[in-house]
Amino acid sequence: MSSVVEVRGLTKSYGKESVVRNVSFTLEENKIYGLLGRNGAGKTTIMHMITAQQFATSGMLKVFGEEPYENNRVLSQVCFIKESQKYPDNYRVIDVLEVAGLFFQNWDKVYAHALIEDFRLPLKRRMKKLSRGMLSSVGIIVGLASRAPLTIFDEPYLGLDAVARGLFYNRLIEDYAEHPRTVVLSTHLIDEVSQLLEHVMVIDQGKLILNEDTEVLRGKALSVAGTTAQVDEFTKGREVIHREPFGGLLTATVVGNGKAEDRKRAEALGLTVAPVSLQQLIVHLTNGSVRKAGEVE
Amino acid sequence: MNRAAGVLKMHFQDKFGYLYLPWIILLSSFTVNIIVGILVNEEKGFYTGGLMSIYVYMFVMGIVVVAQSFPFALGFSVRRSDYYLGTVGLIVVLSGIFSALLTLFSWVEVLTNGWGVKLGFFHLPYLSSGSYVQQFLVYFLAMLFICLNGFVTGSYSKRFGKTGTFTLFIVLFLLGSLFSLAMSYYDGWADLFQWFVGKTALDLAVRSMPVSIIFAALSYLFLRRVTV
Repeated sequence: MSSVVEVRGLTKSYGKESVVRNVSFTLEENKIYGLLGRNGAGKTTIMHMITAQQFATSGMLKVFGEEPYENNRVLSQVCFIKESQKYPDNYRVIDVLEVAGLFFQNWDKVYAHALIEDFRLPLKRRMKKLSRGMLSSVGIIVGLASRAPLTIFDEPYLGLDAVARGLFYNRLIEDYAEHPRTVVLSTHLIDEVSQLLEHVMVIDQGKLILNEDTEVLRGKALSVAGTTAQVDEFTKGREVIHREPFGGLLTATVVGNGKAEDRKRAEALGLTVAPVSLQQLIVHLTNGSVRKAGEVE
Repeated sequence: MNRAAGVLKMHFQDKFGYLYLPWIILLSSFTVNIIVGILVNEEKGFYTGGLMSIYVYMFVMGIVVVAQSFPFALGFSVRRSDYYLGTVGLIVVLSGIFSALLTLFSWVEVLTNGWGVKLGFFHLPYLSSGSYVQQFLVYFLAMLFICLNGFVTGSYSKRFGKTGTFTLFIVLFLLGSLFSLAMSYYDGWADLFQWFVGKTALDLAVRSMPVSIIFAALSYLFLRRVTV
């Protein structure tokens, strides 16, 4: 069985207001997913429902083939790291790690302590006294060292500097290579994680508006660079997502048909073909609905 | 591993809050009383209510434990029922340990004639009558009752939020007033007091058990439906 999460017509409403509307998707085993969308789009609510911390109003939800609610076979395989995670007042960093070892069956204590060194966290400091970035680091360490078959990171890097974020991405990729699992990354920083994601889902106003493999997405557009005249020749009559002039030069991203002809024609015109920014592509495909989110940080 | 046992261990990760602090408070009160005992040097000896502090602490602990650890545990993939079992386990274990210690202190207190200053801190009239087993049961059942009362309050407020808690207390207040009015109207107070007077501490402690069980059952029903 390769489907880790199966969601059909999932809906969550508070009174008349729906925060998640009729969402359907499947998460497969050992893939890295990006769950993207603006604040309040419903990402966190969906993840809360997957982990049985909130209840769906209607719809079908299966995790590892079963209902997650009060189900240890499911929950013991899931690690959900969220920005809003609460910790008991008296807990120190070390206490959080000890407790994580009690509940995550694949918990690797040695790895967790190596990560503590990497992120330079003070083990004996109380959680309450940690800075926002340090608090995020604790979540990241728990998420990585738990090695849960389904690991979900919801905005895991609030307050983290670029160095620590880079460290997170590196460690994630390294550990994922050694211990494959299903990872869901919910994030605003699309470009930063674009190299990591194998599949992208975009949520807007509670609806799933894009659900596509990253490869397929990239095939949908083409970025070319050359002299303005050459580029204009190539882009004539085509949909241009992005134009960036620089002196007499121009870089343009155009919607392609995903076939090799485009690339050949561009090369024949003497243009340089470059990979497309996933962020631009998603912004375009979702009619700008995630643009603001992408620009936040 | 059994995940309910994991929850119990999780609670004991905070030994200071659950094990040491109540005794630091109780023993501080005890120390002050000893000093007072030395200073006043009362011929007939004296009793204090310092023992109450640990019961008040356990009540508050029962309330606070939910807010402190439930969202955390749920976020760490713990089932609600495992959280519940582990936390009731904590309450039972703590009440057991504390009551055993109280009984031990009570024994020493009698042995040393009130710690040499005729102080009645652990061994109190009425409460500590009967054998040490009986004493233990009185301490234990009373503590369970009080702590589970706190736990059901904490679980209720986690389930129904501020508005729900506020509503509950208004309703309880109204019911209390109605009850007291009815008792006065039907001259029931005297009978009620008579009923209490006729009972030993152990009688009352044993009779608290069904209520404690109801508290525990209600806590479960509330926690089952809590979301974060």
